[in-house]
Amino acid sequence: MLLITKQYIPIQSDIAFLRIKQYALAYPYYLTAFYIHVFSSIVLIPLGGLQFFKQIQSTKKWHRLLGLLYVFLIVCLAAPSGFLIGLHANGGFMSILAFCSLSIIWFFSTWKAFSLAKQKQIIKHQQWMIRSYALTLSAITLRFWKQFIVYFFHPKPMDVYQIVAWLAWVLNLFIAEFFIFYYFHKKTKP
Amino acid sequence: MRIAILVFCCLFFAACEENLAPEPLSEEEIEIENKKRQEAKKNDVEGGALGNYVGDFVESKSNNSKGTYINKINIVLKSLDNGVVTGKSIIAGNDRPFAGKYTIKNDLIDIVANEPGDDKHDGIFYFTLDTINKVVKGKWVCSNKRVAVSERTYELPQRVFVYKANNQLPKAIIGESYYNSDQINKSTGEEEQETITEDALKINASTNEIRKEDIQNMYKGDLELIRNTIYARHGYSFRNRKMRYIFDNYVDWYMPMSADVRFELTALEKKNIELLKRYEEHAEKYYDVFGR
Repeated sequence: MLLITKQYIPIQSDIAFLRIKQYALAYPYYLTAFYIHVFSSIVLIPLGGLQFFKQIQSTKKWHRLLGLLYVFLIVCLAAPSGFLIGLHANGGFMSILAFCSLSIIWFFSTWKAFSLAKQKQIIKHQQWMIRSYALTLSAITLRFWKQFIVYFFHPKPMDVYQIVAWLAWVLNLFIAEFFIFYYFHKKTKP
Repeated sequence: MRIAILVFCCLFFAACEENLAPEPLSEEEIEIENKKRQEAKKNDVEGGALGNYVGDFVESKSNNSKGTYINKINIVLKSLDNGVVTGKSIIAGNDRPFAGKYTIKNDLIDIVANEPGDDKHDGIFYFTLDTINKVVKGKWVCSNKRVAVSERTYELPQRVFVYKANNQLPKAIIGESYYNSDQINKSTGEEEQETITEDALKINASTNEIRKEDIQNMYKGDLELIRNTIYARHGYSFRNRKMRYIFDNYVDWYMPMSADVRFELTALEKKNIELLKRYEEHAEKYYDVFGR
């Protein structure tokens, strides 16, 4: 992921993925949104993962500080910018719908988890943060699925894109729900 | 003053005399003149022989055991004058001049022409030009005997090149695979070939402006072919073996005319090439890798 991000430094408007997004660059907000999305997201993946470690969770000060940063980055930067670039996604209506709904659910789950933490409803906070982070990880699963599908089926480029746009996060969300169900079910049993 | 007027008059008449048209010919004289011209044309075997001769350049003596495929050659006769011939040959992206001598026997012209000799693939053309059927037949011998193919034969009909924007690839090309595109799939171990799909015929990039919707869902191979068909319409001789194989073997209207057609491209074609390249590049870099 770092390598993918690295190709966008220094900031240019005619490289890599942006080479085929020239039509979208006509919209003044696109490039700004794109860069906000790329650079906030690359921080979010390790940042979110860190928060699940007991060592971090036990030092409340750090957990709160990093958590605040995680929530801020998603709610104020990554999710809204994701929505904006999602509006111009490759692959037509199906991809646009996939990416835009992803950003809305991402925004909502993160905000929900944050407000639950403020209300000290820790179990529910944990559950919603799992959902939020599952969606954060869709950045990775999107690319994994793309490579996987191309490797075995060789479909046309935009067909792949439409499939992975959905597969990337819907499947993550399912896994998150299963995890939440079993993990918290066990926990509350004794 | 008188002298001045006199001089002026003299000048005036002199000028008039110079501008006088030659006496008009009588009708009889015109007819005779025309007949003379026609006969001269008939006798001018050389004039009718100039042009492009296009066809297969077939290997006849080779030092390598590997089979090679046949390239299309264009032998261009530029001038035949007083026993001296000049021209060039265009094949596989190479544009080489030649010069030599010729002799006329009835309707046949025997030609022997040398390439400059400063390239290791230069050689000598020996051929006979049938001026009635407008066909060139003969052989080419490489001066350097150590090259892979040292002798080739050919029989080439005269053809006229015309750029037609609506020239399109033949339907027969769908499902064909690119030359040497066989690859072993790392996961399945099966042999995979890059083939041409019907997408390659859906777009004419010389007549229509391409939108991203038209090409964003196409394979890289088809995009490449659509773009190279633009060059082919202008008679580009392909250095790229993959494209040369397609156009030399499957496309009847194709004629190799030049090793550089950049200045022939229309504004529309240039615009389409730019967009096609972006999608090709994207497919090349990101289609089957992690990332985009």
